[in-house]
Amino acid sequence: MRTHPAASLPPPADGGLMGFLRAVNRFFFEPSDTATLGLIRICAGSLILYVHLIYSYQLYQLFGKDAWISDGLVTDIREEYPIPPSDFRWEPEKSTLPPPSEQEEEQLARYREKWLGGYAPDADPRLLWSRGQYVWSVWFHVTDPTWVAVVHVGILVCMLLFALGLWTPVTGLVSWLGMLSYVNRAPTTFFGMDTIMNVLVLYLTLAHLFARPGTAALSLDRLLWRYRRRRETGAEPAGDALSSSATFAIRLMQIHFCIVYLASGLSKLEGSAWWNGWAIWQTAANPEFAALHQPRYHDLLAWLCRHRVLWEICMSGGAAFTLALEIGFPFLVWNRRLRWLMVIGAVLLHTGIALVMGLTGFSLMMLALLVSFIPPSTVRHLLGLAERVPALVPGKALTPAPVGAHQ
Amino acid sequence: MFGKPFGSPASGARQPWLTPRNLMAAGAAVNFLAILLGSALPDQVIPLRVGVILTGVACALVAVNHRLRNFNEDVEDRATTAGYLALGSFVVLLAYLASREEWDTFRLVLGIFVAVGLVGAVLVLLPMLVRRVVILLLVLFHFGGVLTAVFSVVPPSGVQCWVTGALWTYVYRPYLQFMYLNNAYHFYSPEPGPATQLWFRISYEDPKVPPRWVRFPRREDYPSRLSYYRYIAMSESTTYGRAGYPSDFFGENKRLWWRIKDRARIPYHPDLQPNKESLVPDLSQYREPNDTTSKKYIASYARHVARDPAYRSPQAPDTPVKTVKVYRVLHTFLTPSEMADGLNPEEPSKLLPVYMGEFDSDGKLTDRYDPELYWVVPILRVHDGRGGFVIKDYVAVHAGDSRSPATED
Repeated sequence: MRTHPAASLPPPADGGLMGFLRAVNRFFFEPSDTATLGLIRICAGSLILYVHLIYSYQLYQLFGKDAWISDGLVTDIREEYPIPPSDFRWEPEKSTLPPPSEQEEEQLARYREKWLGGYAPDADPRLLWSRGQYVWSVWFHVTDPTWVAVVHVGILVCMLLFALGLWTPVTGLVSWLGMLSYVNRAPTTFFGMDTIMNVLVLYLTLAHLFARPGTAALSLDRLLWRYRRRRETGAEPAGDALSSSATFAIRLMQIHFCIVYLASGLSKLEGSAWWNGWAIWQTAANPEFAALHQPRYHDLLAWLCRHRVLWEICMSGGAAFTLALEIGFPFLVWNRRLRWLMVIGAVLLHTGIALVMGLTGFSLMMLALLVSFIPPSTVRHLLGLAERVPALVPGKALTPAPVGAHQ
Repeated sequence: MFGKPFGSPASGARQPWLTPRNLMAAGAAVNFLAILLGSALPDQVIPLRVGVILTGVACALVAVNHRLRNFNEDVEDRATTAGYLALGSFVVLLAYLASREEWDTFRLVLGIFVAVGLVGAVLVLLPMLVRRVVILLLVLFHFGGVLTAVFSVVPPSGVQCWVTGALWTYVYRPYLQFMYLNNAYHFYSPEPGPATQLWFRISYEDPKVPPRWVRFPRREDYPSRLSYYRYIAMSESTTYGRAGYPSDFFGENKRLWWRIKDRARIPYHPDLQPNKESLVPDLSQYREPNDTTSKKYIASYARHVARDPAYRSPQAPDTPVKTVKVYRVLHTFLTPSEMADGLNPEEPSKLLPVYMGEFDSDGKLTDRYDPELYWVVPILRVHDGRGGFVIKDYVAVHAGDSRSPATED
């Protein structure tokens, strides 16, 4: 019997602690069809490639020595950014450090002026818990324009190969480390899309690092595996093994998606605009984001404004829909009957964000993560065309892995 | 138990020499070579050295990955795989030693690989059931970190949760920062809010070359919308405000005093002045960015504008930039009533500029004592006395120009 990671939580076979532990084991590790993971890899890999291809137009302006965030500033932040300690008492403890020497005082005064402007005038930098950040980027160390271009192309090639599913453990890891390089070098240019992109690449890489060879659906790795097995055995490889690393990665994606929605939904409750419906107007009428420069969009919005009741219904309805979906999704998506409603609702939400705010990249990344809730059988059904190329899709009669095989 | 300590070549493989054992050995040899290169030629052939190091690391990673994907659960295989992981860590350690001290973040990645390899070796040695328990504990740690980032954000009108703050500082900071999992996912909250632009007024070394205004970012300047949104994010990075007021704010001959003295030239913004008769500006009109990030970003942006040839004068492209004035502009949106009345979304009076200072080509602030520094500089729509309206652009007045980007088009 096939197992779909998007299935609702199975009832424990026996009650009590052992039953719970078995349910957790099944939830995270029961081997499953890798079709969903393969589709996510293609979608996410293509998006990641596109996102980094776009950097090509502004490579030196964003990552060069005299970029918008200069090399010197980003190094300073990486090495010196102040991290204050948490107070373990109600009143701050008096410093018991010895008075600094003259030379030390000069250094402390320089640091204080540079970083501690918002602190008390006599703040002692020696009392900071730490300084700096644990971040990495190839662009911290490669600044020559020629080598910047070479490394950039190399990373793009890896991302392309990852999207195609070739040598996925290595290309996935390089894609992830490469992606980190861009966001850490130009930290002010990232937004929600990049955080979701990181989640996708991270979990996809994890899945492929531990997956048995030939189990990655919809990939060139699988094509090559089948080709090699045919040459070695002289026969068509029988079916495909299920993969528990795919289940594990899918579960991580699902849980992370739920956390994103819950955090986003609950934090919105802090703002009055989400209670009175004005939040939707603030996105729809934002000149920097919305398509107000498009006459049809502008005219539609103006027409809506001339019909107040309709305006209020639309805005309040939109706000209520957003809140209900984001807060309800993490709890209702696990119910088999309601799952499709939640998935469709999320698709509508992100389609709306893409259309109204123009945040197409962010919406597509979220939708790629949402695919983790689609059962592999549905993915195969959607890709019915692909079944004409049997090598691309694991065989219809899936076979369990051999006894004793690592899962 | 260790009859085949390094595994055996894949049966029937076309390249029987391409085994995890040989790859691991090649990785170690290559990184030894990189260490020798580093000792003999410390400042030369850097790209070659990097290439050699990466090749060695790649060999080790491929060898380890091959073992991880193929090992069985019997004790011998687990021990062999653990051995490979430990060896892989050793090869990466060699890479660490072969790299230069200045490549600090590269060494950070290698150090993490070494640690992960050693932890992985221990995990692999464990029986499957115990291994899965440990993995689940790691998953709990991971999502604990994600939730710590979510709850570490200071609420709009409150105090940070002490527990998550302490957890972030003392436990999770290195993990979340390295893994880029530090986001709180508070999308469009508490409120979506208006977007921010930056206006640069660029002056050139030759006084005969007229200054140039640059409105940043503009949708039409980028081939893709994604680039445009990245630069919007850059503008937003300048909006983090300073807590409290600086030591030179209150008192005679200090910032507030200078602003009061300048009110005849640059009036206070009436929408932010509840008591319109007051001679003292409402303090909501003072918007100093924080020292830790926003001020530094603004200075860096000014420095980039001063140095990027794209911002030279079209009439005199060889003339260097002398100074750059920066205005941070909040673009508020129309109310439904204003839109229903047909007001243009690009209406200048919906812009709320704040003066961020004038910078030289090194990004140093040159006008620390400008009375408008960090104050709102209004753009107002006022009656012209003939039944119509006129725009009073005080940004242009402040900059000494006839127009600003608000009134240029």
